[in-house]
Amino acid sequence: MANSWPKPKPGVPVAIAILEDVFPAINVSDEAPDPRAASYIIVSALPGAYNNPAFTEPRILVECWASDSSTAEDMACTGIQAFKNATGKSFLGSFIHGCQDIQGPTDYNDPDIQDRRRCQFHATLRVSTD
Amino acid sequence: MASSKVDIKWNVGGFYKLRSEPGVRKALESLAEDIAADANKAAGLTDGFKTSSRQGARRPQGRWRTTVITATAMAMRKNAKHQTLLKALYGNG
Repeated sequence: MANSWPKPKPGVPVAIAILEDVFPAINVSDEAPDPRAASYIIVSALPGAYNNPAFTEPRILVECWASDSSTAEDMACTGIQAFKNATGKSFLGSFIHGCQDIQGPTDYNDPDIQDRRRCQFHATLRVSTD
Repeated sequence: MASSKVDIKWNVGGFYKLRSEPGVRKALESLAEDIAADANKAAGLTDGFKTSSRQGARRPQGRWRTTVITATAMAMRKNAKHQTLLKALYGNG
C-alpha cells in the first residue's frame, strides 16, 4: 500500500505570517533581532501533534517583547486575536482550519534582559497539509 | 409505550475517594515525574525541577493534583531562558 501521509508543513513560518499581517511595523521572527528593537516578537514551536493526514497541529509559542509590560500584553492580546481570526484563511499557501487551546497571555520576564518585558501565549494551530 | 423515570443519586463521597485511589495517584504522579525528568534532562540538571502531589480541597470535588516546579534558582533561570517546562509539558501530553 502506498504511503498516503503527506509531509506536514512547518508551523512556525505560518504563525509568523499570521502575526506579520497584524504587526506590519514590528519584527516577527524565530529569533531575537540584533540589536534588540523596542518591540519584537519571537515565534517558536512547542511539541505539537500530527494525528490526521488532512492537517497537522503545531503548538506555537509567541513571545511578545516590549519596553513596558502593558505594551507587551497588548501585543499578546493582538496576537491571540490574529490566531483566532486566522481560521478559514490561508497563509503561505496553508489553509488554517482552526486555533485551539490558547494559554495566556502570561507575563514572563527574563532575568537577563532588564530593559524589556515579555508577555507570551501559546496555542495550537490546525494547519492543512495540502 | 409506557414511560419510565429513572432517578440517579450520585455518591459524591465515592467520587472523592475514587480521586485518591492509588491507581489514580500513580498515573498522575508518573506523568508529573516524566515531565520533571524531561525538564531536568533538557536543562542539564539533576533536581532543579521537582514534583509534588496532593489532593485538592473537598469543595466537594477534591481533585488529585500533581505539580512540577522550578525548585532552584538555576532551574528558574533555565526555564526563563529556554521555556523548559512548557516544552516538557507538551512533549508528554
